[in-house]
Amino acid sequence: MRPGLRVSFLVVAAYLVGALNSRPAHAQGVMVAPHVVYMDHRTRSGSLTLYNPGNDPVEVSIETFFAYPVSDSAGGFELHTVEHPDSTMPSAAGWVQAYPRRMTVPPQQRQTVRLLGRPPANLVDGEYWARLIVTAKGGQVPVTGVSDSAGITVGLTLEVRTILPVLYRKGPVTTGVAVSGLRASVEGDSLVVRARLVRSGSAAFIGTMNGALIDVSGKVVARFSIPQAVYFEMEPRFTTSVAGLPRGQYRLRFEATTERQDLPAEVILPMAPVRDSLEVALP
Amino acid sequence: MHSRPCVLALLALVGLPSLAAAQLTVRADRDLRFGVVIQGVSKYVPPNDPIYSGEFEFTASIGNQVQLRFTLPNNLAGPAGATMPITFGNNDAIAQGTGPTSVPVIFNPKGVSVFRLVTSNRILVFIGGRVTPAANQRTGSYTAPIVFTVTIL
Amino acid sequence: MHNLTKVAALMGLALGVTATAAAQNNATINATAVIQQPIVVSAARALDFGNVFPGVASTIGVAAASSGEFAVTGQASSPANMTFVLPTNLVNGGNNLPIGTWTGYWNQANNAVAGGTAFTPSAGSTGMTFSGTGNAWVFVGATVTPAVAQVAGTYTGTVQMTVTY
Repeated sequence: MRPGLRVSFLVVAAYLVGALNSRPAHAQGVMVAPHVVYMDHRTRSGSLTLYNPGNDPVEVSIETFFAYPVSDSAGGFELHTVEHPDSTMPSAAGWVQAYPRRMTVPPQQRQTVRLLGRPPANLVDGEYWARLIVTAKGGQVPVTGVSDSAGITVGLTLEVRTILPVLYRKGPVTTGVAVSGLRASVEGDSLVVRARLVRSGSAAFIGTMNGALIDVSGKVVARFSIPQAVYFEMEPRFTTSVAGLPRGQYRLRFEATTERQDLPAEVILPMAPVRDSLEVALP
Repeated sequence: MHSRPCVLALLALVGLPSLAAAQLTVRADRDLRFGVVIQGVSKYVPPNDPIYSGEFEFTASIGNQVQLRFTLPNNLAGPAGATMPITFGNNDAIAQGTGPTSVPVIFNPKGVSVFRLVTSNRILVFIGGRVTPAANQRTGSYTAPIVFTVTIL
Repeated sequence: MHNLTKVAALMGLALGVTATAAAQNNATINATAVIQQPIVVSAARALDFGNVFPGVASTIGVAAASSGEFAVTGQASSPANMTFVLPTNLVNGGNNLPIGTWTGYWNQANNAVAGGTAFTPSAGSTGMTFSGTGNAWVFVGATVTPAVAQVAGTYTGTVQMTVTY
């Protein structure tokens, strides 16, 4: 080894995320739409659109697996993966395939991915779930700041992954959610609301949780509106700022509804809103 | 007694098929379809796209001078009153005769264009365009009509 | 003669009406589109250690100008979570350059390291929430620890960030 190299600058550009500083933003990753894929048994198909907003081609691969969201002890969102779902699990992961599964999306170009379902012949009416992993890889990138005359370079492989739900529906399906255990506490300048949500019906509850904090005069002084999915049961956490609100008694109104502005109307299942409320004291 | 033949002649004339009307027919063949459009990402469909461009056809007589005019929307209408801009470029229309020696002619769909039918009496007309959704464009289906008018001069 | 003239006049009128109907005709198509909301995870800025000296550890914190940055876009106000697969070494053939002590920060308000939430990137799930406009920014930092006799060359690794929606 040349002595000069041992004392020379060792340039390690750990480009762990994204492009060189000199490159424009969005050098890696693709846009994936929609963010929830619905498939109907009548056509056994669905589709996904990928768009590469960057200036470099992106390699994309797509896989399926079975998982569903749950909440952790703090009310945060987690994905519970089942590697080998048994017959009691409404898994579509074994028979929904993406075509193509590997592709290169040129810069500022679109790619349509078809999802095809090959369910078992005796599939019972209902809704079946899978998760898609969309992995985007932009390839190795060189580094800046190389001052060694030997031309030492470093590159890193960058991967970003997006996991999104696939819902396959056969026949008429229904949904519902039961709300219980509604409680609230003040943490700092936030009102933290928890509730136990249990899904009913044959399809996942995909909707919105609305909360409104109302003062004694009937005025809404704080609110939240959070998209929420309940596949089995969850105990999520919702927060809204109560900074600056005077101490005293308030009423929290909580509502679960299937209204969603981000989803097509034809996939939203009807459900009468479910409501609950409780008294809240702000210190 | 002399009036009866006149009345009959009039009725006969009224009952005759409109020979001049058969000289011009205009038909809508295919919608201009942008398909899936991602929020914040504009999408362009060229007039020569074989699947997604809009298509009309009209028939008239060889030798006819025809004026072509589109009534174009500025926005597509979507759910809950949402609108999305649509624009048309100066080269976003193509007229293509169906005769063996016909060549496509690119023209501006935003203006009034005049052609004389020389080699074909049946002309296909294609139109493209661009939609520009906002980053927070409301999701859902959007639509707007495009009217194509042909006038024999 | 009078009747013939009348008929001729009527014939002319009838023909005139017919000619007007043929002079113009129209048809209508629709322009259609379906708007969908995307989710996108993009790497906005590289984690750049710049020049690294043998035997001298180098740390880039999340607030540094050269920390790594992801931009994430999704459904407004929606919860999501992040997981990471991180290397413990960058590799050059049989040579390893240790990397670790990962730090993270996410912010839904803007792409600044203030007013957000610090976290430790790991294979475990870290919850996050998109802003009311569907945005979130994630920053990562780490420490590389070259040995005194660290061999010069090209060191590579892979970092994977997963956003679950």
